[in-house]
Amino acid sequence: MNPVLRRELIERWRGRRAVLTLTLYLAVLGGILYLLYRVGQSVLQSQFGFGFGGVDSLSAGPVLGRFLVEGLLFFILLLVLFVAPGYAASAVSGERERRTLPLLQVTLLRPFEIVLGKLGASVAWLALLVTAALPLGAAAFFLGGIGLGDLLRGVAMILAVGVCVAAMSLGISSVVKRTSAAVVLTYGLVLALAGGTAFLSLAEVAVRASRGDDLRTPLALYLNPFFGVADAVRAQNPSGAGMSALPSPLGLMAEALPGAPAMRQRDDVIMEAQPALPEPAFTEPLPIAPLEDAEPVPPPPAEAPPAPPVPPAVAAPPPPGAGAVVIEEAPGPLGADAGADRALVWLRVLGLYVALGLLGLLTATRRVRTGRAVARPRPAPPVAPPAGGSAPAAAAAPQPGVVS
Amino acid sequence: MTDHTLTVPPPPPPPPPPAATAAETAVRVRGLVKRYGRFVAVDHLDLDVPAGAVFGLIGPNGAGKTTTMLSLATLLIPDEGTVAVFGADPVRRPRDVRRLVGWMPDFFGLYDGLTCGEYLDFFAAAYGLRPAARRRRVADLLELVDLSHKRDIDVVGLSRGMQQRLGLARTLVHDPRLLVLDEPASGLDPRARIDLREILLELARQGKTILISSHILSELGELCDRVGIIEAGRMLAQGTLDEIRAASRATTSVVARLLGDEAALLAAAQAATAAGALNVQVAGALLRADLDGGQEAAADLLAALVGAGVRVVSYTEQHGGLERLFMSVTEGVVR
Repeated sequence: MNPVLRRELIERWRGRRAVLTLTLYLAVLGGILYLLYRVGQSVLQSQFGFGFGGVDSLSAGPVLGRFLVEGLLFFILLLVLFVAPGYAASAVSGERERRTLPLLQVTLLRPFEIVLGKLGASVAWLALLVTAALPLGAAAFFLGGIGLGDLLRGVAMILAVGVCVAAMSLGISSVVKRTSAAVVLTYGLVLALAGGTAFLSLAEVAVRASRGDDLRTPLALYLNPFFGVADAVRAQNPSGAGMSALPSPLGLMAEALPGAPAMRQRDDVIMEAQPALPEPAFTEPLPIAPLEDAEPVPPPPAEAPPAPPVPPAVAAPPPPGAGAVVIEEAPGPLGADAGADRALVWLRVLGLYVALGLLGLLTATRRVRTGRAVARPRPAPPVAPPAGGSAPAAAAAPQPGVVS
Repeated sequence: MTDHTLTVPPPPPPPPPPAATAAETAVRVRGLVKRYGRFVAVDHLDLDVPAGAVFGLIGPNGAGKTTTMLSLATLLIPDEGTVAVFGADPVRRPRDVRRLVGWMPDFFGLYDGLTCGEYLDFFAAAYGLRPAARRRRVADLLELVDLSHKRDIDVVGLSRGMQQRLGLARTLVHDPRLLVLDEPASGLDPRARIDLREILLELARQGKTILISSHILSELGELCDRVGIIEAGRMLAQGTLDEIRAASRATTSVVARLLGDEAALLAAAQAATAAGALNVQVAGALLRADLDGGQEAAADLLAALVGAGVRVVSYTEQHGGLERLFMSVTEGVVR
């Protein structure tokens, strides 16, 4: 077993802090789950009461189930994103501050072993957090509405994203001298990934819409962890799919997936509108991206009377929501394409995260090498090298990576 | 040069370790240069430590001791010059050197939340020891540094002296041949200092080569059989204490305890001055004088005193220890 990993586990898990953290984490998640349950139930009930939503009392379970599981996964991811960087940010800079890094460097541990040990500790911690939360998921799972495959894929995605974020934090931690700075920077990074990308994609959608371009999934979203998880669990915006309006946060993210009703409809509307109007950009009721909060505002159809009760979708794959398919001209091939695209989204997100994570690990490994960490050798102007003996060392000096 | 049977104060220097056949060189540094920006920390430094020696590196803060030791510990790459540890180059073959060297920096580097046993076990694992070997090694080392009773105590709860001993045990986990100890005694109280010295002497008896630095000279006098005096990045003198003493223009001091009244003491002082002694002082029954010259001069002075009818009870040559030696060696260096 990697000595660094073993030490981290002893050091961090033995104390009371780990127990407290875990307890707090589960309490928060449990509370959230309960709140979601109450909210979901009351929304469904009121819809049922008013005859909205196309959900009768018998089929409400699966809708609620999916809503709860997706909501739970959303908050698990949120907490993981909150915990992962905080844990990893001190990994290298903490060793530096405690002045134990040089002590490690003179041992026979190789730099990548040190870094992997640190990463392993983060992975173990994240795995514990995620698995500890799974029983909560089971509570929601038994209501139905989501397949086991979706659930596992979502959990795996959360774990993978967390690990990659931890790897990036390691990289930052190795570059920055102080732990406090590393913590600030890593949380900045996470904020940019989770929130910044959402803003960027809103901007992208707005620009595309104002230019009258086709709407498509904004590129920035591929860096958004929630987006990736939304796809991994095949979340859908229920209203878009013609189901009741009980969208989980992930369901709202799913709105932007390629092939999702919102994306599709807008494509279709624009395609349809273009021939008719010479200047579509101005006369068109601007379809401003309803990414996060708004109900989709596709022109008339969505406001139309609720769709015929759809069998509450045991994870219906991405087909266009039955109720929304007013514009039947939507060409078949496009739909097929979109479906294929959508299947790949979470893989693409994962790919980007793995790439960034590897970058972080490589950076950390480089920085943990000796010759850099303690004192950076500077190539100095050659001062008449005395005798032959000094030549090799002088030649070696400018390369930081020589040692180890 | 055989020396000073007259010296009383310091206990006899440690017996030369068995391995000190001087056949093998533990450390050989030639023309080492290390610059930090425009500051030259080490300036063409040469250093030779024979295997089995206890070598004291003496110099004021900022003289380049730590930098030299870092380059031996494979932690930095020299700008110029060659370094060899038992023939291995720390730049080219760092892992070989790491197996040979146990380095203790001038800071502790403690992991909070680990017990002493776990702390040592971790470093033993980092040097690749198997679990069974680790358990034995950790127990032995705790025994050696007298911390067995603290095995399950958090490292943070240790006193400074204990932490220092634990640090020393850490440098020994992989049974290195060379110990590089940077200011190990700084900040220790006298008791802890004596404990540390005892351990180091024991290690020297076991045949380890020890390179130890200090800016407090008296710490090294009773421990080292060789010293190097380093200042402003350069090695001013190195060798056995006697060699350095001979090489330096050290003046000898003598203290004589006399018998007689004031007049006799006054006469003695006059006789000493006449015999060429400098700074003659009389206090009570003691006469102190500095001599420009070595043992010859001391012997001549005693003869002169006795010849002048002074009744001498005792007569001692005083070296003034390393402090004095250091001052005399470094006096020509502009700081």
